[in-house]
Amino acid sequence: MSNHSVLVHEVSKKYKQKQVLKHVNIQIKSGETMVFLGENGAGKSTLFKAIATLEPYEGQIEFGDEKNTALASKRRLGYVPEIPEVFDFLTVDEHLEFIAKLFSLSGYQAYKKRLMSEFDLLKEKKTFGKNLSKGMKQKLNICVALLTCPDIILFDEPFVGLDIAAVETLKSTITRFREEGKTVLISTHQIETVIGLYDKIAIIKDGKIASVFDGEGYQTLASTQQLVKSFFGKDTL
Amino acid sequence: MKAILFLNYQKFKRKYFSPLGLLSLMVGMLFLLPLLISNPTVRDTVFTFSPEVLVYFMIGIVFLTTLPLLGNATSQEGDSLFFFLRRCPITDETLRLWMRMNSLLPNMVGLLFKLALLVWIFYLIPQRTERFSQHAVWIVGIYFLTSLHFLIKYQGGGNRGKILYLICTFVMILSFFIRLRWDPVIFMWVYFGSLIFFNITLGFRKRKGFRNYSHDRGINPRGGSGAVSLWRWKKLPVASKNLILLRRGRIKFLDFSLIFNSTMAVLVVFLWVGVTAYDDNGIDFPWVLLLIVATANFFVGSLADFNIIKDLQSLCLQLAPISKPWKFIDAYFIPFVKMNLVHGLVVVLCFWVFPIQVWGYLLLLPLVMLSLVLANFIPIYSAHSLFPKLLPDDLSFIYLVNIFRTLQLLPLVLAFVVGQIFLNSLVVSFLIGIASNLGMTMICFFFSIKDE
Repeated sequence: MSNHSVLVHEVSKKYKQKQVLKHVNIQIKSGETMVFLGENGAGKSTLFKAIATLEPYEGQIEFGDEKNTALASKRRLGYVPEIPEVFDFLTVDEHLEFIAKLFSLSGYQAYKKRLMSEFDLLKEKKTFGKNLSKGMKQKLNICVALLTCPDIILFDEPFVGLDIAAVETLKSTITRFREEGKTVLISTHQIETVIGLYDKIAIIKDGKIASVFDGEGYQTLASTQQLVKSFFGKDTL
Repeated sequence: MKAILFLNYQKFKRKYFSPLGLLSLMVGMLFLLPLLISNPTVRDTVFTFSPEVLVYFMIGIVFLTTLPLLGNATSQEGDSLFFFLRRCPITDETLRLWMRMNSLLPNMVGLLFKLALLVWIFYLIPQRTERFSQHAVWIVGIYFLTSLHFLIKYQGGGNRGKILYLICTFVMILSFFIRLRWDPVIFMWVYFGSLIFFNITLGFRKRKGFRNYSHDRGINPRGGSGAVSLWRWKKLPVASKNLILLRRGRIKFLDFSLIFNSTMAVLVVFLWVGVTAYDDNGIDFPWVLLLIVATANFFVGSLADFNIIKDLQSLCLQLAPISKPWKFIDAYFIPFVKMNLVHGLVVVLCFWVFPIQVWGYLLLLPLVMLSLVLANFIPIYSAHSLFPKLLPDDLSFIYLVNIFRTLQLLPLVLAFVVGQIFLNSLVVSFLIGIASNLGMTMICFFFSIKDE
């Protein structure tokens, strides 16, 4: 039994002539929360899509002892995309019902209601996907990802477009996941939103993992900004 | 699968109750109700609930409930579906099957409708007397709606063209009821006039759209008509490339459809004048001719169906190579079913409606074959002329496959002629034709696999 939850080994990805990921290697232990910091275009979203099997890539990605494409792995994974995906013609409630059917969930009604309540979606229950604001779509995608109770969760720029209340809810949700021993991966360029939420920080630069730091020494905004400055020459990304 | 059915049910519900869906319904009812009320024979049978009336209503209901479904699945929908399906615990093969199902479900309903129409024609065959001309009114009417179906289906996302066509159809129906219905020539010109008008408008619109495709873009691998990179293109199986080229070529096909419609209009006027001179067996020739024109047009419309295999995402998913059975279904089986159904319909009508059966068929046969050849070659030729660097090596293969596709109709045609002359059994000859056609299709399929 391996002690890693997510293993990324020699993963490369090329879009036409542009090499987006260059032999990425990283291990995330079970129950660990890792934040990926990097500028726009550094390859964070591509790496997350590769982990979520949404992009073809070269290399190897495993969840525990199984490939990420294995059915058991898919069941373990929750993914919140950078750009929310919704069906125009389904309501908020129907989106969650659709996911429940896809994953053959049972006894999910109470949890579904709780999620919708936490993310302030109950009053939008019957609103169609096409009529949701970007923030609402993002909230819906978070609920969709969490409905299946995954133990590995990828958040790709999860705070973009969220209102303050939703940001706080998401933060407390991530904290709860950490307490529950779930593996959480967060990609962001907004350092201030993730302070205190991680066990480790991975710096991603030009399609490579430049370095990985233990989060303990970087639990304040000032120290994290200092870290970022040492890599990117500026306080913010 | 429950999830896919759930998704389609919701889509159906939303489209049915959309403004366009309700408008389609109203047009359909406007057409159907006056006929029910004004025709005493039909009105009487309504109250007796005869099987005949049940068939009417089945077709009417299937069609009317199909209409709202015909808004194309957008690339956005394809993307979202891929996004959700890809991450749910299913195999790649199931994923392709479900995505395919999602695009096939509305198509299957359309196919059922065509099948129902064919069954209806067979049902009416023994009654080919004056009564047939009454049924012809219904058939032509439903043909109009089918034409609408076809155009809505392939019009794309915009509503302007759909509304325009609905107006055209409405004008036609109005003209039909305002006493023009007894003059098929005027009726025909109203019909062709509106169709030509629509085709021209659509032609301009599509040409504008075509420019957006004029780089290395084809279809979105996740559905819809977005982008496919050259990298993906190179990895596609030949059959898929062939289909994509045909899909792109459909814009040119509409121009062809315009020419065909105009030619047929002239031809029918000529035939009408010629045949009515020999009208001595009581058949209502003007209606019959109108029916033939309508059927031929229906045939051309379905040819476009044959060329445009909706939603190629399953072929283009590069995450796992497509298996041979799916390739067969996508590239050969569905076109085969559609082509045979429609061609069978044309042949049956020609044999049974024309008083001099064989010459009637032989008259239409060259047109049918010509339309097939043109429908197969014009799109490829035009697509290739626009994308000369896209497929230089594969082009000969594409031509060859299409020659086969055209030729594979020959056994069907021969079986009909031989069956009719020597066996005097339309059903037997139809079955022989289908069987031999299937053989040709299989040869074509294995040939393409070998080539790849």
